[in-house]
Amino acid sequence: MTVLTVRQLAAGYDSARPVFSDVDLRLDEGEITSLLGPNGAGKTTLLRAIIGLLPVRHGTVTVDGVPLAALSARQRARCIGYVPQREDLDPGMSVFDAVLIGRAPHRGWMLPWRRADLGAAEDALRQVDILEHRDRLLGELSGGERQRVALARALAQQPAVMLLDEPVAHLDPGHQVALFRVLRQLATAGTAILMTLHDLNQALQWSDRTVLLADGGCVASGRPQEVLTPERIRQVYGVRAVTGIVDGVPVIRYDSG
Amino acid sequence: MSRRFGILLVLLVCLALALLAGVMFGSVALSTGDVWRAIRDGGGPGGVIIRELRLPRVVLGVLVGAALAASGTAYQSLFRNPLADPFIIGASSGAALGATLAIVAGGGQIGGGLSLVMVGAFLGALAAVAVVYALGAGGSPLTLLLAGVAVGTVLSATVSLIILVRDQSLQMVYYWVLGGLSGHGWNVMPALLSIGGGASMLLWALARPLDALAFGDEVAGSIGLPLGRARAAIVLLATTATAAAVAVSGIVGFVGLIGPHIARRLVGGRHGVLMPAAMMAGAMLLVLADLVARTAIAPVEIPVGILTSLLGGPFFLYLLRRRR
Repeated sequence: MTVLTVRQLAAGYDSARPVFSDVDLRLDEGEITSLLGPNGAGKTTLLRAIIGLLPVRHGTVTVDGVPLAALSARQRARCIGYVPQREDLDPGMSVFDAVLIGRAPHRGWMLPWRRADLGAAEDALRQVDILEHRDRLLGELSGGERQRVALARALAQQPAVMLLDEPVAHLDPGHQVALFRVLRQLATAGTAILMTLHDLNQALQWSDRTVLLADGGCVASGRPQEVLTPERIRQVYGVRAVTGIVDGVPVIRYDSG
Repeated sequence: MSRRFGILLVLLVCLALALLAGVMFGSVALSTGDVWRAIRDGGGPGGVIIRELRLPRVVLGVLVGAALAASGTAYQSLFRNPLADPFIIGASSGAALGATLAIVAGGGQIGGGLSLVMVGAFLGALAAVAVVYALGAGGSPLTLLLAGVAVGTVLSATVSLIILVRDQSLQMVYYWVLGGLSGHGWNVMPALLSIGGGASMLLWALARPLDALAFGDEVAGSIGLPLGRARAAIVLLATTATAAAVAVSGIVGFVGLIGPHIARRLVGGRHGVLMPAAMMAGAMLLVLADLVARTAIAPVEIPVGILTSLLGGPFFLYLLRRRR
């Protein structure tokens, strides 16, 4: 079932020149969608527009059929979770406190936390496997652990849609795979996931659908191996690529010549 | 959780001891027995000194120190910068200009322990920050910061110009800017407590939005914080607390920077605990600094602003070096 629909969206920092326009996108329950495109294509801008951090210049975003413009910031945050590429983590905050703040859309900004909020934060920590670090300070964590804390905060929001901006950009291969596995579990549990990626092979391996942004619009969308053809890779990224199959999974190798 | 609560209790005890020291020591040293008797029935050898001079002075130190520390804590979260202080977006230069204009206009008491200079300083601080906010609000915290620097420079230059033209006001303005806790009785407390103390308590009530802002605008926005309204409320309350404090004390520097830092070191970054800890630390620092200011080279009294800056400057450098 489609959870989030983007129709003919145009957004950008400057009202005269949107970063992209006429973008259509739909996120389905239980699916991981990868958002690809060269630097500057507007991947992050699209995520920021969807969560309302940027004014939408044209078009609509709807969640479960309700336009986001009709929702308050708090209602929107109960539907959509967001993990930015880099976040300013307050080094003096504990892991648990940093995740608990994700309950604000449910509890508000003034009232004391309920048992249910504490429980949801613990569940989120358990899901990303860092419950044992709950009392450590953020300043003491490694990059991989911090990324998992950020994901746990978004999980504590219990959103139907999860947006992630280059979730594995600063992680080693072991942590990358671990994070993708968590995302797959989330999707299996019913969450619709949209993540931006630079590594096309990760898109092939971990996403169910791919949306390719370039030149101020959406170039292609569909199953990853259908979208990521050698011609399109050359056209969008300007590199020659060959595709093949390794152990049943499609892979892309870039031509060094 | 219980460890943080324990630290808050320890801070409270330390603050009480600082208050006791502030009341006991001075031009005439008194014993704890004298203090107890003066508070209980107003009698004893130091009765009048304690009730009418030292007690209001330490209470003033508590209120001013706590308000500045609450304001500094809020700005450090808002700007996500540990070097932010209550004066970072122009409150001090606005207060100085307001006070200068009031002094040039002749000053004078307006009843209830309040003077025209206090009102001028209070309104000047609010007006300066309002202008900064109007110029920089649309953009990021950085825009706000730069607007603060620009407006502050213009206002400070205006103060200098006024002093130059009306040079008989020089000494009064100079003394006001240096900051101090002397010369006030109980009658300023109701206004200071309700405005400065009230704004500080409301900032404490905004602990959760402050927590969210400390994670950056993207995270705060994504968990549903209305960024514009939250920022406006925090700036308004932090400025009101600062304006009320400096209206009575003049520009007392660094308490609003160091208090939050000490508290952050002790109890961590969660504002529900950090805010009261910072207020107690700021109160304690100012009471102790004032004690040193009036006893170090007695009978001459050093303006406490000079002392806090003398001690605060090196601490500031220490922070800068640690951040590398």
